[in-house]
Parts: sequence; structure tokens; C-alpha cells
Amino acid sequence: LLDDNKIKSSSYSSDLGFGFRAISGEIVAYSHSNEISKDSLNQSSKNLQSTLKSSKGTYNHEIPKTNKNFYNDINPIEEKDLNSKLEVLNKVNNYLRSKDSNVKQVTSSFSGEQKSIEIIRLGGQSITDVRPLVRFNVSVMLEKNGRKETGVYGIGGRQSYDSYLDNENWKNVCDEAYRIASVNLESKPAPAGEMKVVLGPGWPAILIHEAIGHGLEGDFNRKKTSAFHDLMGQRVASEGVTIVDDGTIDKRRGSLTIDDEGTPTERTVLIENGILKNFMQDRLNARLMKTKSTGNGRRESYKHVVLPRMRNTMMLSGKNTQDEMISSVDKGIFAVSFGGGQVDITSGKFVFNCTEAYEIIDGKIGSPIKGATLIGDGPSILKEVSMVGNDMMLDPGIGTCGKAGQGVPVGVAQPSILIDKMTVGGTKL
Amino acid sequence: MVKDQEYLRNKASYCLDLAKKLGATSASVSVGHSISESVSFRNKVLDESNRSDNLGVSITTYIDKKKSSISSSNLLDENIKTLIEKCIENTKITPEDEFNGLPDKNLLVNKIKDLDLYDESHIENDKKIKYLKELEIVTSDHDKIVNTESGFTENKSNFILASSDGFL
Repeated sequence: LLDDNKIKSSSYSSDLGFGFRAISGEIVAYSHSNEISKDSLNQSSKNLQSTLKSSKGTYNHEIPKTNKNFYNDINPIEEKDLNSKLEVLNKVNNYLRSKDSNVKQVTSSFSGEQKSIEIIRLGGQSITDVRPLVRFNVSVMLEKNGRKETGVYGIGGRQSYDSYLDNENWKNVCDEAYRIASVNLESKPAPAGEMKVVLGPGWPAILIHEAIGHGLEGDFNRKKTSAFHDLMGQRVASEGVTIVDDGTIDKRRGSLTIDDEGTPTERTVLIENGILKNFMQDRLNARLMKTKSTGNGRRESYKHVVLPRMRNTMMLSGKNTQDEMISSVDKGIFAVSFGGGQVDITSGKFVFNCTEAYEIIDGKIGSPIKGATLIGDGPSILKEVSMVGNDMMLDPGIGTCGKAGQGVPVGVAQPSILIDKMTVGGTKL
Repeated sequence: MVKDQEYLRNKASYCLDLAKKLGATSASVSVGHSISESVSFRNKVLDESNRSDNLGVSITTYIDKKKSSISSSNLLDENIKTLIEKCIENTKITPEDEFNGLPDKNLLVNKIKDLDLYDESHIENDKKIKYLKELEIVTSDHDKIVNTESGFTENKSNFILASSDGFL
């Protein structure tokens, strides 16, 4: 981590352990330890037996096999020495500070991991996967006439550091962080009220992930806590809205060769032209809902129980251009990127803060605005989509999804979309 | 059973001695072990049980005003040696920061009061399940209650903080 002209810290950690899961009916008994010993395994086994002793289960069917790999078997940590990483961080700092005298602070970091997993099933079947993951992040603060604004941008994926340390690549990340900070330096207070909203392509799909995607996870639907649980086969979104969850995109942050139960991942169509087609399933929820696993069983590490989780969740391209959307709006906002937000993942109610947004007046993009929040609920927003762009874009590879105290890397993607009615929280009435 | 103080103290001493031997001017270490067991019910039915057994070490090494950290859950001596070597290697090439260093020795506590917080008793999983079952049945008797969720968690932990200037 580089901050305030200095390398502030470097750290390294290694973790090793096992998780032991037994299932009977709806009951899940789980035990994990990072001490791999006979004694520890016995303790875990005893714990599982005491939970499931009166339960009877059936042996679940075999897991399909795959030879496809969506990333290479590499260790990003070992392939690049610390000096090379420090050198790039210093170059980032110098590049941004020499760009503009208004640059007052630069923070930049690299992180990399390699995760090796082995899943051993009843009957002796063993399935393995080696998962690399890297992330590069830059934050730049500008100060002009006493006003300070920050721009943050990052990239990442299941690749080697080399793909990110490339000269053009890190400069692009710096330029984008600088551009966002510069835009915000000129921003004015955001309007408030109900209006039309154009969402830009790429990262804004985090709204779809949070407000709609979670509601399509198998566990919430089996327990009937999701707004979508009784809507299979029915219209849940406007015509033209197709949402898929895809774990098979090469080297993407949310991609997995196999999920954490060993099921090969797939491209699962969740909503097709507005009609609800599938939920995302792990093996437990799939069995109880009498369907098949979609390869969405994921967990943060051996310390966590598997849950149905998203991979790369994407709204597919439509026919409209972004210009058509903007020109159709008399008064509204164009939201390009989001920062933090809050979501009730079962009802889909959300509040998102825009980190880059513009007002739209009489069909034209106007001034950048600051402090805009988007408020609504996923199921309603889906029905308000009136145009779907032809410019689908993947996010830069920075998302981490939180559920039940577990964080897993995910991806999102979408084209520009026009939402006819959405509540915008701002300070200008 | 959580690891006792002697086990944790021996691991901490091993780390500090090794860090100094491999070139650190000072070092700090924390070693911890925790075991947690939980059971949960939903609508009078056993839903899930979880057992968690976590052992871990984190070490910070300093070479004058340079600093680096490592952490691991693998406490085998051989692995710790590899990690400390890596940590020292990283410390050497990390730039100095004037604020890096161990806290002033004179500000550290020298007598730690034993608050006698550790409870030896252990409730077996079976008993936890039995208690929750009774609880759920009694709760469900009330007409206005339409949904019940209950959980029972037991957690035991032990840890040690130590530094090369004698704090333990």
C-alpha cells in the first residue's frame, strides 16, 4: 500500500484448513479447523454426528465432471517480487503528482492471492481447483479553490500481475481515477425527486446484483423470503430485459471452473425477456426445490458454509443507443458509477450513492452532480426499464459480494439502461 | 479444548527468537486459538450446527524504522520459519516510516490482573439442541408468534501478545 508519498505497509498471509459438511434433509452440520490432525477431524466428526444422529439422508447424485479451465494454474504472489510491485506503486505516485499541481493525495495498492481447494465427497470422489486473483487500486484527491474531491478506480481478475503491471494498463487506471476526481471538482448539488434515470454501462450493474440478483438466490426462494419466490415463469421485468449469471467468462473476477461443491459452473439464464426462468442454486437448495445445481454453491473459505451466491451477473445488450436514451429525457440524471450503498437483499430495497453522475436537461447531458443517491426496490425498477442499450460492458473486476458474513469475489455487467421512474435523493429541490 | 497459555507462550517465544536471529531489530507477535460451537433452530426444526476451530499467529518484524507483517494458521515450526524469513525479506526492502516501531516500553502494563474470566464448563451439542427444542416449543405456544428462530453459541478463546522488548 502506498499512501502519502510513502510505502505504508506490505503484508503476507497463508491459511490452511479443512471444512467438514454433512447434510440431512434441510439440516446442515458444518465443522472447520485449521489444525489438520486426526484429533481435530475426530472432534469435527463427533460434532456432526451429534447434530445429525437422528436424521436419515440419501446419497446425493454424482457431480458432473469438467476439463474446462477459466483461468490458469498460477500463483500471482510468487511470480512477481515485492520490489517490482513497489516500483510500480512509486511510478503511480509520481505519474499522478506530475499530472496536475491540484493533486494533493495519492493512495494505491496491489493485492494478490492464490487459493487451492480440494473437495472430497462421500465415495472418495476428489475434485481440485487452483484460483488466482489480483487487484490493483488507485485513489487520487484533488484540491482546487479550497474544495477537495476524490476519484477512485481499480481493476482486477483471475490473472497474473503482469497483465496489470503493464505500462499502459496502470496509466489507464491512474487516468480514470484522475478523471473522476476532476469531474467531481466541477460538480454541483444533485436534484431531488422522482425522475428518469439513465444508468451507464458496466459497474452500475452492481445495482442489479444487489437489488435483483440476491432475490434470485435459491436459499431465499426455498425459504419463501424473496419477493420472487412464487413468480417462476411469470413476467418480472420489462420486455427486452435478460439477466444471466455466468461463471464461465475467461479470467473474470467472478468466474469459477467449479463452484465450492465441485459443480462445474455454467451460464444460468435468470430472466429472459422479462420472464423469470431460473434461480441460482447450490446442491442443498436445488435438491430441496427438486431442481439441479447451477454451480452457484460458493463460500469465502473453508471456514464458511456453502451458500447460493452470484458469479458474474449481467444484463445483456438490447437495441437502443445511449444517445437515444439521453435524448429522450427532459429532466433526469445520468449515473455513471456507484460507490457505497445499502440493500435489503431479500426485498431488494436499496439506496446507492453515485460517485459520478450528471444532470440531463432537455435531452442533453449537463453539469456533473454531487451527492446523488438512487432509492428504490429491485422488483419495481425492473418493470420501469424502458430502453436497454447495445453497449454492454463488463465491470473492471473489483466487486466483492457480502452475504451472511462471507465475502466472495464477483463480477457484474450491463449495457446503458433507461429507467422511467426512480427516486433520486439530492440536496437541490 | 483451547490451547493452554504454555503452548501459546512457547509459540510466541519461538517466533520472537527466530525473528531476532534472522535479522529483525525488534518484533511483535500474537498467537490465538478459539473454538466456537453453535446450533440454530427455525420453526421448531433443527436448522444447522457449526463448529469452528481457529488457531493463528501474526508477526510484525521491524528493522529500525522499516516494518512488515505476516499471518498464518499453520503453526508448524517449519512453516513459521519460512514465513518469518519472507517477512524479514520484505521488511528489508520496505521504505522507512518514522512512526514505525514498538510502543514505548515505559507505557506498557507490567502487571496484568487476572480477571478470572475463563469458564471451564462445556455444554455438549446434544444439550444445546435439547435446550433449543424446548425453547422453540414453549415459544410456539403463543398464538401471535408465527415464525421462530433461535440459536445457542458457545465460544472459548485464548491468546497471547508478546514483543521482543520483554512484553508478554
